[in-house]
Amino acid sequence: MGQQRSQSKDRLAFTRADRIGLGTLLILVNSVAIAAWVIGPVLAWVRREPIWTPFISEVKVPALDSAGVSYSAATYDVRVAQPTAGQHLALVGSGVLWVALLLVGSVIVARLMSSIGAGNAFERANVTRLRWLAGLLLVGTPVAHVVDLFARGALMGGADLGGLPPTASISLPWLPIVAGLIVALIAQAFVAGAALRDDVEGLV
Amino acid sequence: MPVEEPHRIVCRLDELLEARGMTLAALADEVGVTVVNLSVLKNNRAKAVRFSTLTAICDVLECTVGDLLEVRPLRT
Repeated sequence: MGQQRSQSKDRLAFTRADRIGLGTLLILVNSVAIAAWVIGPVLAWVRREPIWTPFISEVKVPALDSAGVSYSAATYDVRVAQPTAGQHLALVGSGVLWVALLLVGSVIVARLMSSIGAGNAFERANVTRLRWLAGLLLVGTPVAHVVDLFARGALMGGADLGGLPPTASISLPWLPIVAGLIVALIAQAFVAGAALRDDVEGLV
Repeated sequence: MPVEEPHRIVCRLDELLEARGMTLAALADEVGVTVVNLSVLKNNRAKAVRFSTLTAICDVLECTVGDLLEVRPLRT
């Protein structure tokens, strides 16, 4: 029974093919992010194109009110026809910040993957890497989110909103924050793993 | 990083092997431990030894644990 179990293939094992797949995915995600968040806004700036930005406003639909149907704020795409250099810069800056976070996070994941693939999962460097990753998710993501909100807010300054009142909506990116806490927890598990590895090193 | 605890255990595997005209590789083969690991033990670089490894080495070399390991006296 035990032999059968040890001989059976672990289908959940993170193999070399998985590592190559994840590495390729990271490269793709980073490339798309650079194109969408940095190159796109820079090209729009150079070509003097208008900027489209989401805008949330309360709506009143009497027909729905009378029918007793509930609805919430509506999201519009606002066209900022002639954005200023400052507005372009704010948008590009926000994109650069997101891309920087993504790149640093990807490099950390790639190094973790390489270390785990080499059989050194519990080396001390991985604890540091995981803590950096947790920090990026816990602190970096909300900061970039707030910077993005300010950049979008700056765009609204000169936009014609058709008399619609803007709705203030401040929300934190909870998913990355929770993910960051989980990564911090895993980092703590790696601290114990690294201590065990230190103990076992030199065991004959 | 835990503090490296110095120890005063000295392994006399070298002498035991020489007395029996045996090589480290042959011992490793009989004990079922890699030559690298036995070399670590022989050169006093091991931090810990499994009881199973000690038993196997003593069985093959027909010696006691005291013959294999000794505690170096404290320098005064």
